[in-house]
Amino acid sequence: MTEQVRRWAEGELRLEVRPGAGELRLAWLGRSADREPGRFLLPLLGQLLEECRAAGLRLHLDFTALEYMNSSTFTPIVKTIDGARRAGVSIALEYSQARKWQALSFSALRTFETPDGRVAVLGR
Amino acid sequence: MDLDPSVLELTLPPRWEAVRAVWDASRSILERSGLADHEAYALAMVAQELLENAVKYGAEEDGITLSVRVGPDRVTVEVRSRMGVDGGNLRAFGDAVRRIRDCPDTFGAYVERLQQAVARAPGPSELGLARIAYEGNCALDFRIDGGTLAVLAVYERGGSG
Repeated sequence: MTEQVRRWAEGELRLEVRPGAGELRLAWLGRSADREPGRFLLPLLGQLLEECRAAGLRLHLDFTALEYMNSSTFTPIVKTIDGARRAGVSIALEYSQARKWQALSFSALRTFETPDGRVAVLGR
Repeated sequence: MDLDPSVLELTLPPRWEAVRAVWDASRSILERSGLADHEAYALAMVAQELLENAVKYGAEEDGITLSVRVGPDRVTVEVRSRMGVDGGNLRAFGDAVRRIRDCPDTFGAYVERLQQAVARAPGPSELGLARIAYEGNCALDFRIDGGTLAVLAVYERGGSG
């Protein structure tokens, strides 16, 4: 069976969505360093959140292969976490503990985690 | 002409593409100067964040100067740009630097800016500056000389980072 993968690219950033067991998995690849990354990311992440809400899936954002992201990229990410919480969609952010910048930045995002696990930040 | 291998000084056009173009150069000098890979990465990030601010908020027609100076005890990343901000914005910028510079809890300051970003409209924030202090483990400062704004990030080698 062919795996259904959807791909997007903006600047040096590439995004790939794959369906998984009970989730949509969005892999972040390359570098996110646009001047206004929210213009590209917010509509896309909003669309994926809506798909997850309609299908009862978790949205899994996989940053482990991402090489760099600027501070402006964090704004659409935290807005998406907030949007997921409001829409009742589970969301997980997965980062690489081997990349020190990810370990530092994503440990700060752990403050958005909820006790029920609907918002989870996972170091791998 | 002898070039100091521990100093990088570049003048860039105030364009977004120019910010990206210095990533390799800044990371390279930091690695060659004996910094650990994660330190070189973090300080290259610091340079990118300072340059992004200068492009966004500096004067549109003037060049931006980036200098990275690696000494035995500290690394200084400095970005100088002609001010494109009015007096009120400059005061707000100075207040932002002071708030972050004087905050002993860089993690808490960074988390606070992330939480503020949830409801924030597009525009200036202190997230990049807070990231420099927390993730870059740098002390921030700024100087104004005539119409030029210099923003400095200083990393103490052998510190907790």
